[in-house]
Amino acid sequence: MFNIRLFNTLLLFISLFALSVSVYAQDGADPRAAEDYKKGQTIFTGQCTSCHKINQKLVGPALAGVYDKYDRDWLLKWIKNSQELVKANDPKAVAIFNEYNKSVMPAFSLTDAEVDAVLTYIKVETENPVAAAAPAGGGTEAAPAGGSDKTITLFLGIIAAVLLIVLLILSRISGALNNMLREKAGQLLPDSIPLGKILFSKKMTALLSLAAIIFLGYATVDSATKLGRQQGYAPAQPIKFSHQLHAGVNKIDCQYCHSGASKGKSAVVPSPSLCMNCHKAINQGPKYGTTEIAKIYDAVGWDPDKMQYKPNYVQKPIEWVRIHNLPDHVYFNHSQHVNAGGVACQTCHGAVEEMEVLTQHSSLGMGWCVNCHRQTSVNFGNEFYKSYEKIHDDLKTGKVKQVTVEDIGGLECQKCHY
Amino acid sequence: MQHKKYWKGFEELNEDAQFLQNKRNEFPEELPALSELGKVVTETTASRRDFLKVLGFSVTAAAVAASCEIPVKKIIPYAVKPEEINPGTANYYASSFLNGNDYCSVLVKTREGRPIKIEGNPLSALTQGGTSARAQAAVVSLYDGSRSSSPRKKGERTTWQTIDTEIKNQLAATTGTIALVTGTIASPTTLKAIADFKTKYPNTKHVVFDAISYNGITAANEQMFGKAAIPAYHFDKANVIVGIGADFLGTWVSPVEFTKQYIKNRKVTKENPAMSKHWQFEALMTITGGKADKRFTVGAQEEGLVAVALLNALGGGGSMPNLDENVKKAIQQAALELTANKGKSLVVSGSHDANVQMVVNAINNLLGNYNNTINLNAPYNLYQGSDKAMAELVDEMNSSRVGAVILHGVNPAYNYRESEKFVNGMKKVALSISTADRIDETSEHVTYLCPDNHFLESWSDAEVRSGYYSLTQPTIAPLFDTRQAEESLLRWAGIETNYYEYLRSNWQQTIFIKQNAFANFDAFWDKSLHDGIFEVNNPTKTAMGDLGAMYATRPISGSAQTGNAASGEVNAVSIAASGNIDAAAQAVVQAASGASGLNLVLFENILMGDGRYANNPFLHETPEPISKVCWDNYVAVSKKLADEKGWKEYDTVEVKAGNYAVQLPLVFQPGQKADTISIALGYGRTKAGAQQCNVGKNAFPFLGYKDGYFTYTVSGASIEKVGGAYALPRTQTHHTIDDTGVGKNKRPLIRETELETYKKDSWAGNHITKKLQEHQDEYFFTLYGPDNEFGSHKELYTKGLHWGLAIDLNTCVGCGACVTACNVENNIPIVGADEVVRAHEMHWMRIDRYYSGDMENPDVTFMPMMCQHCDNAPCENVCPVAATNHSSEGINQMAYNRCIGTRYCANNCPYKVRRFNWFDYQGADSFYKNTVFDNDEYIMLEDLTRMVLNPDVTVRSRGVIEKCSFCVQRIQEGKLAAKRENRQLADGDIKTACQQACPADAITFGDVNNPETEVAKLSKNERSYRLLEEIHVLPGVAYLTQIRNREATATTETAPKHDNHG
Repeated sequence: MFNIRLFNTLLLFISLFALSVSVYAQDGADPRAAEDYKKGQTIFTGQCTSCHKINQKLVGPALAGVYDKYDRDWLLKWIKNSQELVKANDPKAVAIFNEYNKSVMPAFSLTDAEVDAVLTYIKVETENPVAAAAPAGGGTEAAPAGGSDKTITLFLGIIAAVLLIVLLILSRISGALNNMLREKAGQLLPDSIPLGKILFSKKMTALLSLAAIIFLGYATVDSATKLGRQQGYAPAQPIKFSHQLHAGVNKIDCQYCHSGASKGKSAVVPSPSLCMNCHKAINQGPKYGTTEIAKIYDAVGWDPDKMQYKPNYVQKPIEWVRIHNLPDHVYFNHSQHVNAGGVACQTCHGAVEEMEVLTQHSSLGMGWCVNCHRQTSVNFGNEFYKSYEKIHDDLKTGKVKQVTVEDIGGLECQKCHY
Repeated sequence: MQHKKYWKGFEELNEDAQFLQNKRNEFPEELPALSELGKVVTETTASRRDFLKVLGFSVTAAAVAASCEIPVKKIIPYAVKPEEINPGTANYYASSFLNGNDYCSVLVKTREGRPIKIEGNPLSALTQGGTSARAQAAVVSLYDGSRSSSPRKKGERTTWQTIDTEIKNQLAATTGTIALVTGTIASPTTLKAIADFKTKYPNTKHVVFDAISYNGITAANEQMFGKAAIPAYHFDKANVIVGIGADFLGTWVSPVEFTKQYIKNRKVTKENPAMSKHWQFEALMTITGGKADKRFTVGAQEEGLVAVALLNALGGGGSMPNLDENVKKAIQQAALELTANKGKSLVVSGSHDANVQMVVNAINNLLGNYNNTINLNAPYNLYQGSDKAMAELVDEMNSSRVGAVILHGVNPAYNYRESEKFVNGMKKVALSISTADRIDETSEHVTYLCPDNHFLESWSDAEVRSGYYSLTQPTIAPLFDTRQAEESLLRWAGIETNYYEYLRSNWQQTIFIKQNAFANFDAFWDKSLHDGIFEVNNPTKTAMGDLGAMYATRPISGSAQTGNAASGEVNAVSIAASGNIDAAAQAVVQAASGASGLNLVLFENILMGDGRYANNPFLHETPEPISKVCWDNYVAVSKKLADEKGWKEYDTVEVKAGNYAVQLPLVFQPGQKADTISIALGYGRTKAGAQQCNVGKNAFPFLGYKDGYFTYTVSGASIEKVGGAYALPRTQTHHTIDDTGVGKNKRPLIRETELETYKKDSWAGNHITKKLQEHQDEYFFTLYGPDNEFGSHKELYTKGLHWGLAIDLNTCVGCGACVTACNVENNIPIVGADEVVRAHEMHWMRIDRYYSGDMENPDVTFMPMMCQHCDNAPCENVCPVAATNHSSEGINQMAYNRCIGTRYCANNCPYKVRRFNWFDYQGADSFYKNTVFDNDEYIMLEDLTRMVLNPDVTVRSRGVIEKCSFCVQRIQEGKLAAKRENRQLADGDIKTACQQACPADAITFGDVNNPETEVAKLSKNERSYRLLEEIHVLPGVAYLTQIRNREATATTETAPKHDNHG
């Protein structure tokens, strides 16, 4: 028995060691681990991607194999100041300049070593194309990560159940042992009451019906208040738009797209023409490739090959599924909260920058609104509140420490219902 | 203590028992909804079994309904978002409301591309931000499902291409006259389009037809000044105004503009206790007469005599015509006052008789009013219609001399006096075309119907008064396959430019050159379009001599002479054409003596106009300002006549004159002589659109025709009772405030005084308030202490903002623009005639019209009533679910989704301003058939009509109470704008819908906690009082006493004695 345990432990250690060795070995062979590559990647993603891709034309040409096409010296000159070459009537330079609609490649102040690093990066990327599935796999990895919580709960549940069963068995055993002891001592055993009799006794019925009434009543009230509420609602959208990518990774400001939030009632779902500000250049996503972005092009009529809008195209608006719904008798204005109140978007919408699929974070129930209005203090520095002289006096004298939304009438019916 | 008695209807005057009962009750009838529910509720006795069945069913139904999936809603952003449109934010576009002869410069509020409200444009020098009920309701007519959705040939749908080809061919082949019949065209570019059309088809004859014409004035001016036009009037420059049957605050020429002018001299303050003196002599009771300082009832045929008498009294010579003694005396007095204000007075007449107008012109000339208060150099381009030309055309059509007829903006088959003759004539015309927007009485007979756009879908311009230009711009793409009429004319004339380009180039060529502020046309155009108006600072001044006639060049030397005008000592300006005037005066006297029997007066009312507004339910439901009748017309007679004949009010009578007769209900009208009866024009359409809107009887066939002009007074009419009581929708005694006080003391709802008294005592007429303010603790009789259960008012309502409203009873003319504006702004349901009969009208705002004094010639007071937003509100503490409560900003709030419909609040409201949704009037409920209406096609339930709803205001469902919210959506919007801009609210930032619409500036809204605001000053004014303030409910609405510029009488001064309270 001991031997087996020892053997097992040994096996585990060995396998772990082997695994780490193999990982190390792989690292050694991967060109992407090289210092130069990493440096090049940083520069490339930071400064080049808005116009260049490795395997695809964008504003500028695809860069795969560029190191073979041109010699290093020429490339150094071109990257550092392309216009100088063009002006000097360098034939290669002029040819490229004309081919790409005379769009000027700006001068980059990079050292030779940095340019080399970029070229290394391009070379590695050209020679070791990453399978399209790889980043997609990376995406799906995130999903089980979310599920791991559930797994733990499941495990704990199973453990609890096992323990419960063990407890039952043990109590049964101890009961039997007790009985045996009593029997041995010649004591009389008490009459055992059958389970059925207990279950159908009047007291039990009363208890159970009371429990049922309480439970059903609670359930009714609870589901009645939840009627029409959609907390956690995360419908599929016509375009698999990822807030995680746009707001999280790329750190695009929420109000760049939702420009109405500080201006008016509606935060505004951007029209595809706004998407085109970026997606004229970016025609491929990390996860779905061109398929999702092509839907924007389809809506506005953009031809990604010719890099121009199709003439006489009938534009097709995108029908997004509305997630945050308020009943008709509620008036809500984004600019009041975002602009005047200075409330962060995340306060109500949750960590949108982490959501791959947008989900309704808050209940949007009246209790939820009211709670916030009770707790949030008003930015009393706004000139508008000069009319509230009395409260200003109280603040000065220290009679009140802070002014909440409630204090200036934020809980009154006609702030939201009219 | 003797109070002047105020009354709204005869039932009130006579203290009818039923009326008194109603006054004390919440609703003027027994629970009427029960009859609607039928016998199920009233007659069947429900057993326990039934109860359980119903309970079981409803629980199951609720469970099923609740388990339904929440519907998926979509957000569909623009593919390419227009820069200026932000969903949820309103855009305003300046435009012009010009419908026939009705004009207002307006701002159109659009939401998500839908026009939803019309506001006045304060930049316009003419209408100065004022609007009329007609302009306010115009936005509803855009979403009118009865408009023709495509061009039609013989009633069948067709395409524009087909129509254009066929019409062009036929026009080219026409050998006879092509008659282009239009209403008055005040648009210079439309006139140009017509001119281009004429160039292409030289055989075109343009006939201008106004169903209600002002040929009397234009003919008189043509005869005397050589200019067939209506001059500009300046009521603001007149210290003494004499109106002779001219309802210039209601319907006459340009009422919104005149109201704005008129009230300039009617705003009385302690610092400047001066106001104009307004005399009115009229046969019918009008709102203008109601506002007059001195009003006199004359017979319909006597209005002309008044003019002659006034001319004579002013020294025109001639003997005094036969009039009542008091009228004669009044005329003498008016003449004295006029003489003392030469050049600063104005005499206007509503007569359609050129002779009378000539006499009035002579009076104004004698007073030196030309070029002071009257300006013929910059006349109106309104009312250009020629009665004679129209009559001739109808004859020509009947004698088959007309080859083609094009009708634009007219409906002669309804409102031409001999409509049958017109229709017969039209049948003899080979080619008939109409640009009407629907198949109406006229266009049902035409071959081609080429529907015009609504004005909110059109480009256009207007020059209503010369030198005052305004632009109309589209605020929505055409809803239907319609085309602007001007564009149609251009197509047929072979001009392919679109009308926008055409309009723009016309402005570049003709109007741009009239200014020198802009060197660049684009800049000028953008500015004009943005403002909606362009006003030539110095309207083309033609030399005086150009007037051609005898007066204009003559200096009014007579103005220096001050003598006793009445005695005829003053030999005022000798009138060069006195022969003419004498002849005219003689003709007037003769005409008056020729009249016999009953005189039937046909008049335009403030709602329906010449019938063009008949399909607008918002106008139908706005009560007529004087009679408070809606959804119908009626015969107005004097009580005296009715008593003689033994008629009761609302009896059905038949009125006969000439070959025409109509049956209508009777309404007793105080302030009308026994020999005068009247019927409003514009009713009795048969093809207006929705079936509900074809109400009343057509009175146009009564019109006479004499010397080439339509006559609007018919003598020798007969009237006969033919039936019993008629259920007339009339709101005058619905929601009567219970003014029964303690003992014999009535609570005075209306407070008024005279200018003379006010000059001596700024508290005149308002001593009760003074006393209440001085003795804060001694309230007459109240349950409501100085504080309420939440603390002292000082603590509660002085923290920040406190909203209040001040209404000046002296300037309110009762026109009803505010009521209509409120309805459109706040999604107030239109309930229809049957529901109004049962006092179910939903209006948040009403104008109580009170009569007082002499029953033959009563004074009239208009009192706009809405929720008073009491700080001690009696409605709030009876609500079992706290659905109505008070905000810290002093608003009496109403949470619809909390209301369970007990109606306790309405029962406890002393002002009766709360309205209960007996039915689902606007399709708010998810269960569709909760409506009272039999057919589902009711106008306000159509999706198209519902596009007019204001998305910021909840559409109320059945079973909840609603009432005025002080336009809380506008308050919140204004506050938010200030917060966003990091600034304090300025006075006037927030305007309620009623205030914005008011042409009389009678309503002022704002923060009463800020002593700098207009409303705070008005509320503290000595003229200001709160309605029923002695019960101490602390209303938020302040009324300012009415002041009349007349000699003091004893009865109106009601200084209370101290021993009277208790």
